[in-house]
Amino acid sequence: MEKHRRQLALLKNISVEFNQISILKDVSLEIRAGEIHALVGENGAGKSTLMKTILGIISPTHGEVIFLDKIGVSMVHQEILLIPELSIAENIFLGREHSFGFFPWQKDKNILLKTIELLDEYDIELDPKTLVKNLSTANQQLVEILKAVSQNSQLILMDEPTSSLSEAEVQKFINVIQKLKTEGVGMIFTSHKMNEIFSLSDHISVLRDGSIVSSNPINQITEKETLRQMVGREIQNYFPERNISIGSEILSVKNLSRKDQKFQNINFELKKGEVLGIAGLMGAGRTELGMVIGGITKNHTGEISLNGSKVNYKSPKDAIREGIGYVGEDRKESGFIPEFTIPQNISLSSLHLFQKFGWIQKEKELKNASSAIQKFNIKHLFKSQTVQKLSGGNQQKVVLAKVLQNDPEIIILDEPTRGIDVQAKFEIYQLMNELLEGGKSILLISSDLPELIHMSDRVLVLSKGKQTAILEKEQIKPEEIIHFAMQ
Amino acid sequence: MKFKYIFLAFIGFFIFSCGQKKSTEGQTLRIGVSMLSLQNEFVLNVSQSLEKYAKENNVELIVVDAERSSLKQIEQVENFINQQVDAIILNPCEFEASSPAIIKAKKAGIPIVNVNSSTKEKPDAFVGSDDKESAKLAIEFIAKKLNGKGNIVIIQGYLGQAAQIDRDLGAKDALKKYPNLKVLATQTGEWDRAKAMSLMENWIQLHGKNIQAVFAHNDEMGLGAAQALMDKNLKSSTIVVSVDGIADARKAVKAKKLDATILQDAENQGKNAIQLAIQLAKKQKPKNADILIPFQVEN
Amino acid sequence: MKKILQFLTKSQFGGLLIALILTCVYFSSQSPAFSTLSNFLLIFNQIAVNGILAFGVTFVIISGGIDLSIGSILAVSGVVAALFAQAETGNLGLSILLSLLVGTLIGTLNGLITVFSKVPPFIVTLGSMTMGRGLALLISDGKPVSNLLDSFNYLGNEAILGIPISILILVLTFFISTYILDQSIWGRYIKAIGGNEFAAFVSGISVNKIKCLVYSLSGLFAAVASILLTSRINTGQPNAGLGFELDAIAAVIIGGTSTKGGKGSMIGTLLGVIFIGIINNGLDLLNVSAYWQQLLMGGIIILAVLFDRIYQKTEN
Repeated sequence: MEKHRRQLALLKNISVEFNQISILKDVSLEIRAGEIHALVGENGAGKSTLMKTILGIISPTHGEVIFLDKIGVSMVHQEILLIPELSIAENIFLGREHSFGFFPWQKDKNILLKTIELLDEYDIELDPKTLVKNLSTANQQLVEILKAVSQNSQLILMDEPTSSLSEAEVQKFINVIQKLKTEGVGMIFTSHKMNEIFSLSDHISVLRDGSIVSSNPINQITEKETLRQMVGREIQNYFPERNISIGSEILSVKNLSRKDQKFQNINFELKKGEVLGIAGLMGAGRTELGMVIGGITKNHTGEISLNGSKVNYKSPKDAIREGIGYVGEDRKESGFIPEFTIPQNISLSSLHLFQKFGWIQKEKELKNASSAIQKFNIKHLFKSQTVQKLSGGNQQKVVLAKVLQNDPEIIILDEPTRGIDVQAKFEIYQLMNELLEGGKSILLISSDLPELIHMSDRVLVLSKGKQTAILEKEQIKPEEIIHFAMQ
Repeated sequence: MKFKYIFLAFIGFFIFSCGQKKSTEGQTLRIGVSMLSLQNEFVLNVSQSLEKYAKENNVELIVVDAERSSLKQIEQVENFINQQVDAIILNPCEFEASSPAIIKAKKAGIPIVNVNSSTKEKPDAFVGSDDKESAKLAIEFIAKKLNGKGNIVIIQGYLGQAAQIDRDLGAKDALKKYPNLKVLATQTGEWDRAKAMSLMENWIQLHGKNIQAVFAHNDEMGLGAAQALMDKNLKSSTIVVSVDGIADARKAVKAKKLDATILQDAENQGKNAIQLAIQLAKKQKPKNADILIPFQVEN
Repeated sequence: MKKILQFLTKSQFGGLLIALILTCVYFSSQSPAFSTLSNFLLIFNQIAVNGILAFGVTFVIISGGIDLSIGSILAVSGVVAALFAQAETGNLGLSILLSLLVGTLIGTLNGLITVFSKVPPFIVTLGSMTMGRGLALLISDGKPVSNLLDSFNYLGNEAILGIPISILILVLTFFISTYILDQSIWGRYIKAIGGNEFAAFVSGISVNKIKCLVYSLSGLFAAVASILLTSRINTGQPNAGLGFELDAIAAVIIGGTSTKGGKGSMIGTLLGVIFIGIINNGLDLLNVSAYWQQLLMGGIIILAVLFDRIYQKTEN
């Protein structure tokens, strides 16, 4: 079947070097039309660089990218690069308005029409006049793809296209991809979600440390083998073993509601050593719930009690003092200070431990950071590296290290392993287990079903702001969760 | 770590500070001049006169604009002292605030001459005009035209500047002779044409046709006030007199847009300032170290 | 020598230092009076006021804000100092104390309004800039306040052991500022808020308190500068400081502090202040006309910033 697909491009012995560091080594690949090609590898393996080389914005130090036809190549990035204040139509045709007529009203009308055409073609029910800022992340993603399509790109590169999508939204994305496939568009995408990769792609190439380990049609390789090739060794499980005895109640939430109705009447208890997963679709109110319990927002009614006594914190500072640790879903937005070094970020919530009369004890801070770096295996290039330059997994570890400095009793994790490679994910799960063994409790907000299922002791399901179920261990199954999430 | 940076910066400076002494420029005298503001036409006239007579006398002139800031003026004089000029001519920004400049020059032993405006601290010589006289002439002109009876408004110069202080005094004195001349309002236009125009517009709003005459401390402001009156068709019934005699004002007088300007002799002020400065630089004692050049009414 | 070259190229101020040295070389080649110790002292004396203002506003800019009112705070504090340092009735200590108090108070007001009204600091301090100017004119009755205590005038004009007091105050302020910014927890919080305010908030930092603090600091420093200025011209001028905020902010930006916040240093600001001071001094010595000076200064500032940005980009 594959042999019948037309070749779009050839990568021949591509090597890319920066400052004498080899990022890509002798990469050769075939890219075909109408083929969904998955590019997998750990963070730092070189996937991003490879895609940028195909796109043409990085010139290889050796080797070449040969296009067999004059084809358009577009890239859809992990972060949405649309202009929030403009509409869908305006965004798609940004910069190309001149070909739609002379007068402004002509241009507007024609662009609108063309956009409606596109939306219809891919069966996307959106109003082309909607401002992008009012769209969900999932729909913004689709607009990005439409933009690429409208440019008649024969090859579309996608960087982690489904990392911020919930299960239901992924389906929509898949529909669009399938349609593009039938039109002969070639697609290369990177992802960390194994089950997706294996259900969606036609071809899979594994990148490790800058070299292609294997490149095969999807039916010629297994998930397990793929993982092994990515990491270079056997991975027994995605999730570490856990055997923890659950203790007494530590947190109790009664009738918790947000004043703007993002969620209402939430009730649950949390025990020591327990993980309570929080599931639901996008917009169900999970993040908002986490933010309220974490003390980030303060617009709620109801009771939160710790160790039996009611608490009323007015700020994250208060919450931290009460023993709550919070890791937000967007680490770039809420987790770390980009220009700060690793030690500076780690000590950020606990500077009172490293100061004397206001003077920061920098050696103490550094020493403390060194042990944290070792403990969490935070990979970095040099001592004074800024955290923004670290890979996603390592950034998340820094955020965790920071939160754990204060030895919180309850840790709220919102999408803790989003956009993180397999190895780092495993390390984070191990960390979670360690915390639980120490008697800590975790609230795990996640849209990653396997993660939710394997790591939670119980799961609270939210649907449109209402609590629809609390599932006990035996009841935690994908169908159950989805069922209650859609009520 | 940061000390390295500071260290380097200082090193940089000391590399250049080592040794280089200023070369003495030969025989031509060097005079430093700091003018109040070269955006003021009268001051510019004085400055141009200074340059003309400096050239005639083969003297090197360094002219800087204090931009109405006493602080800047003091710094400019400090720079002159550092450059070891032979004399300094100062057109002071402020009576009090520019005085430190005089003190510094005297301390350094460099002769300093005030031109046009005075300071609290007395310089080695002074050339100017008696500002009190200019106000007196203006008030008397107005009094004659109004037959000793009517309402006047006064637009003052920048508060704190010697000319403003003296013109206020002169006006007050002169008005004593005319008890039927009433001052409706007095406010500063800061020597500025636009500000004076706004001020006049506001007064017109307030007093309407009740203003018979305007005395502005300088021509720029006088012209501004005249413009405001013309815009409201009130010029024909109001007399405007101002001080300085700049080109614009003289043209306006000819065109009957301004009633009179009290000519301040910029040319002579400059000429005498240069002469005094040269004499002092050559360590000669000038015959008259306090020259007052009379005003002239031009109408 | 090699070490110095190495240091120059590796440091983040390399671009600025090179520009600084080139400028010095140029000026000293054009005017013999430039490269003398007395001129050097003069420059430092003359940058003292701007320098202290610049240190104060550096805190604000690093925190992600801006303070346009420092020129007006300078004027108000200066007038207050002068009013209480009158030759017959004044008291040196009291006048200094009250001046500092007034400056800090106005700054704190700026901070409180910015924090609680959510109005952008640009607008808030623009407003207080105008109101402050009006206040200065009000309490001085529009006239400069002179006739000050001798001991007061002493501060800006005399020297101790050959070093002008103003330079001593400048250096002291510099070290205090550097300590606060680089060594203290408040400096760390300021940088964190500038780098990512929301993350700082989530991490438990009292963002509102720190944001208020930087404006109070800015006001305090403006008051210190006002005492120096008032002393130098022996007058409390209600019109003092007009446009000073632009020079101060320019120095901060030239020194490498980003307008976005999060990145910056006092040493950079000091270098920026020195750079501007050298150019002013050099152009005066070269007898460049005032009109050209303004043009050149603007152009040089743009070039210096460009140079520095390009330099930083290539280093990355």
